[in-house]
Amino acid sequence: MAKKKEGPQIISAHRLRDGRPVFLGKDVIWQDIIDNAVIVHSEKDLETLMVEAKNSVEKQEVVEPYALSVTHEGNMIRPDHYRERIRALGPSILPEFHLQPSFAALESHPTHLPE
Amino acid sequence: MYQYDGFDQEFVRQRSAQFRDQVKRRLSGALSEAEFKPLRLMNGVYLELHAYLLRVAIPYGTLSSQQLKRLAMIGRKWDRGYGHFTTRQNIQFNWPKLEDIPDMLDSLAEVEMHAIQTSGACIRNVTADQFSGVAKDEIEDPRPWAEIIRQWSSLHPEFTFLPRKFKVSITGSSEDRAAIKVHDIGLALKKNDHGDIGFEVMVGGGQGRTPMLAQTIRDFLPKSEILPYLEAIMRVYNQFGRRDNKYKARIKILVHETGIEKLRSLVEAEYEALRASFIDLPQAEVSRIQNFFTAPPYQNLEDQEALLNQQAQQNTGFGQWLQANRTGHKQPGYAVVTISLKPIGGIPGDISSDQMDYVADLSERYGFGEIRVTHEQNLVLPDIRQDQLFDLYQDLVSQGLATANAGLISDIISCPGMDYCALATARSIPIAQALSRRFEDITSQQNIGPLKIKISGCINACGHHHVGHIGILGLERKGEEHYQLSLGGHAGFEASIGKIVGPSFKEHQIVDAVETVVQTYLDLRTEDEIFLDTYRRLGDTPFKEALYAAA
Repeated sequence: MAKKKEGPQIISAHRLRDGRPVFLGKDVIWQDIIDNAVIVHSEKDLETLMVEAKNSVEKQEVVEPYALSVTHEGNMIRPDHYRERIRALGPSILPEFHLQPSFAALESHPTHLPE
Repeated sequence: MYQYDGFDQEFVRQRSAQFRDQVKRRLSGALSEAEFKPLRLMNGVYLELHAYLLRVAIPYGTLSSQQLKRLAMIGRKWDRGYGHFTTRQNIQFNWPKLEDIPDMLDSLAEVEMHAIQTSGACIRNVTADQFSGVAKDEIEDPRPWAEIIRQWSSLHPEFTFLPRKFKVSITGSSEDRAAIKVHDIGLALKKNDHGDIGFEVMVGGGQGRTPMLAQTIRDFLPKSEILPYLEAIMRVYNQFGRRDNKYKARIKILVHETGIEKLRSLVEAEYEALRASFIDLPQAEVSRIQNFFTAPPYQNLEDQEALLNQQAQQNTGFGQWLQANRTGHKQPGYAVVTISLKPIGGIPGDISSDQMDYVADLSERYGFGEIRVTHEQNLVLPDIRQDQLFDLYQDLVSQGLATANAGLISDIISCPGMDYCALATARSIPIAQALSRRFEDITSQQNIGPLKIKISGCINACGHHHVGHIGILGLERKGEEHYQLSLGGHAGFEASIGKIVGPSFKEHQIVDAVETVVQTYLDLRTEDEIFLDTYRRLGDTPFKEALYAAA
């Protein structure tokens, strides 16, 4: 995802063993739930965080780390892009597989399409 | 069905062992992701939005009951209890762990299955008409030829690093049910003026961001020459296909840029040059493979139309199902049955492990233990006695597998879209579900008649939107999902690429837009016209007016 220059960002990647989306949290521990991600607000801090992410790649923990823009409020971290929201939550069509980040309550999934 | 010989078994076993070692080295760090990625792709392993994905080949869409039961077991043991059939007659598992995939592949190898060449720049799984061998309109069963091509193309050393992926599809009937004109090579068995059967060879079809229909490169090719001729095409493509730009690397671009006449002369020259050294397929080997596809032990039966009519009158649901999901069989007293994997509001192509087991059991109880997979993401039981259709129907009803919509508006092709796919720009499954609910009533669907909606969640067009009578392409516009509507596409011998009808629609508008198109057709159709006929007669003007008049 294209990252914006300003505003809160986090780092996500796929866990090598099972391919699941994970989010870089405190003490370089990769988290399943996006709420536990470390948020950075500057390009400099993002670069520092990305160095840690790349170290995890070298340790065969994760693959393909990247930064994404988020909005946060209290404990809730919500990706700005719908792709990242689906990725952090689970397939919009299968609520039974959803993880439970705080922003889940805001989503209209599985779909708000008219029937 | 074809059965592996010792060579096939050893080949698949070795490949599985090789990949087990590659996964081990990846997990240990001996292989980097950059080194591992091309290796996993050649074994059908992708990394998608939520997890790895394993794509398993189902050669020419033919499965034994034992194989389907194994797929059910794999879904249950190593995935989340279901699988997804694709537009290339493959099955995908959406949640495997990388460390489990070697065990999954070993398990597949035990039932003569694998994931080789289901991804990567190689010759992919050969697809075919799902009614092969049983279709009433069949000229010759294409399955032996599909199998011969499968064997020739599997790990062909010269064609392991092609400019791009390469897809072959084959039909032996007077109706194309395999979408051969949107494949890199489409093969149609046909009879010439002398009564000989050979191949019409078409080349350069494909969808994606540059949709093109295949053009005929050889009008009639003797069957015995199929492998050297395919080899000649592949050599020309391998040599001249563009490698500077992946979006221009498919053979359709080579055909377009070179012109079919020049390409034909290149292929024919290559063909002449290699003929001398190419060992013809021995007739004994052709016969050996054909013997795997001989007809099962049918009983001498008569057609049962009177009985079926009576049962249909007594049970409306059965009557509707019979009308949509039963196809004529070449053997009197038998029928071909399509099992719709498009329940109303369901996910197109998805099937639970329990349903897989059930269908496998049905294929043994009512047929000869064989199941077909269609490129339209449904299953087929090819050999059902007509006098047992009602019993079969009731069994299917009990498992939610009797939706009477084959070929109708709710029989929608949909790619996984952004709910799973890392490449997608929008979701496609929720649109299919909402459309299915909107047109839920089967009587209304039958009134609308044959109408194919095909939905892709990105420009790569895995959901075949270019050849949908109504095609829907999901795109991103300013951070929101939008859907572009195209009309008039078709995937048969009279194929056409759909035409974009106008500005795209937002997610909450697209279902209404499709309904407007359908209502316009219903208002304008003449007797017996299906949607495509009306569109071809009138063009897109009335549909445009109806869709955008208020804007």
